[in-house]
Amino acid sequence: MNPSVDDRLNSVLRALETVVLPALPESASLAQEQVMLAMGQIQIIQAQRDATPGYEQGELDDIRSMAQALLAVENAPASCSSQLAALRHVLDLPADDPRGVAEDTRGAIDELLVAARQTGEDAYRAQLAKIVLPLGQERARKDREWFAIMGFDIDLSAQ
Amino acid sequence: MSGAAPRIDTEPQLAAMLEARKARRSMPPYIPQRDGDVAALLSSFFEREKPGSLVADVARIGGGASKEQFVFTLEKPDGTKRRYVLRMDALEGITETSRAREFEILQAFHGVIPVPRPIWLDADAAHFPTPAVIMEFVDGVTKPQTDGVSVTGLGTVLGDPLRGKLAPQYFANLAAIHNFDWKAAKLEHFSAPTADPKQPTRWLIQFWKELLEQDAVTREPVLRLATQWLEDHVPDCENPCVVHGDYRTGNYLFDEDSGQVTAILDWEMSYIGDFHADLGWLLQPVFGSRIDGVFRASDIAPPDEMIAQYEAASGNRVDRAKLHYFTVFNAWKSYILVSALGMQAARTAHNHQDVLLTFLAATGSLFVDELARLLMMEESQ
Repeated sequence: MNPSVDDRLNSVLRALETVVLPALPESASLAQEQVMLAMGQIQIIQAQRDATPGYEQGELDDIRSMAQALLAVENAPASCSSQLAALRHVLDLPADDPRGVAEDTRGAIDELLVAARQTGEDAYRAQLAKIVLPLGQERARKDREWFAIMGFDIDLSAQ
Repeated sequence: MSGAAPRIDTEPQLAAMLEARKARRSMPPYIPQRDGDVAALLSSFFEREKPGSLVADVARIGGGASKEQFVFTLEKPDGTKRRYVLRMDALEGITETSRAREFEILQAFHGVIPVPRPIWLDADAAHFPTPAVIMEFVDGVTKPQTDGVSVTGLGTVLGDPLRGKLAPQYFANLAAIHNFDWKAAKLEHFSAPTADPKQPTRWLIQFWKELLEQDAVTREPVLRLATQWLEDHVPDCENPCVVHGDYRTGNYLFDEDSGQVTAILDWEMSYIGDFHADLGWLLQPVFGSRIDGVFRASDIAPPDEMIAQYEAASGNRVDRAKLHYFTVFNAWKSYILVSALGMQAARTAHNHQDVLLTFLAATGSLFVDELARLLMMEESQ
């Protein structure tokens, strides 16, 4: 039987914990910290591993929803037409690399927000913000949940 | 027309630093310093600076997320010994700062409030592999022994009775920073933003925006809107003062038995600007504690009490609109630190703590959430 990913990662963790860490001199504080952080990262990656493809697909779905909502805003200034076309284009990309396509979509949205500011049309900018902010917050809250396991988030980590 | 890119509208010293850092991006991975190599570097440094002195007990200091730090003993020819701290840059890190500015601001505040006394500076890496500063070692801890493992002081709980002992000093020291007569101090590595009332904060925003542009590993839409909002709403600053830039629990040392603050640390992000920036920073949820439903900023006091105590200690009146602006700014700055500079340094392998930087980057969504919340408050008004 081939060793599973968990078998291999657990063996790495055990080597770090029982061999490497005790072998470090007391004065090697940075090395001790780095080993403990590495162990923490591995444990968190293990805990998130099975859910990671779904998480990354969710990231892509959410940014695509934002893009579609932005494209649906009426009365877009003519000077934003090339950015809107670029945004439409990324929505047509195949989603075989969810993280890459999500980043392309974020990039296209960014270009639109920059162009919209240059138009000076506040009403259009306000409509874009009304989409980006709530959807951005909704996504950020999912990301906070995902990373609560890291222990930094005083509102979520203790739950 | 020369065709040269326009200089960034920020402090001239910082603009030069921002240009210089671009050349480091393509450098090979950074290899952390070895204790033995650092001992040799220190020995050769003091052969020139303090002939006849001996360097001993060189050891790395843990904690922090930006500089390589070592403690060592220097024995002078007369037999006297003293402990010092060497702080050296990595190629890149979670911050982009100047050792010369850090040295100068510590020198200015020595004798004003407790700070480590800076003694030697190698601003241009003439001797050490990267820019370095050497300062006196100060005894103390950044968190009580009873507190668990935390990274860079995040989530530190001081608890009682320590909190009660530290709180008055916390406010008195911050007040002393903001009321410091910087014009008399002749800070050569800082520029006075006195051209117009918006210059202090305009410079600040343009500095961090340039860092974001240079280092962003993702183009987060909420960050773009936050950048635009900050540029569109720059408040006036009538009386620029020294801003510490990272004032919070975790960045000062104290004696655990007496509760006496022994040193205010981490001055590297200091500048001359609006005091509300320090308040917006220290009030951030990520630097506080929540115990039995009560949020305490820096685990010192709830936000309204923090503001009242700061006003009483400093004599400065807190303008709530400006505080809101700098609350947005600090969530934005925090994101840039952890999700842009930190992630870029880890991806380019230009730091000695890549694994810590990718750990810290996981806080990025917290700041995006906060920025969206704050900007939606604006939209609804």
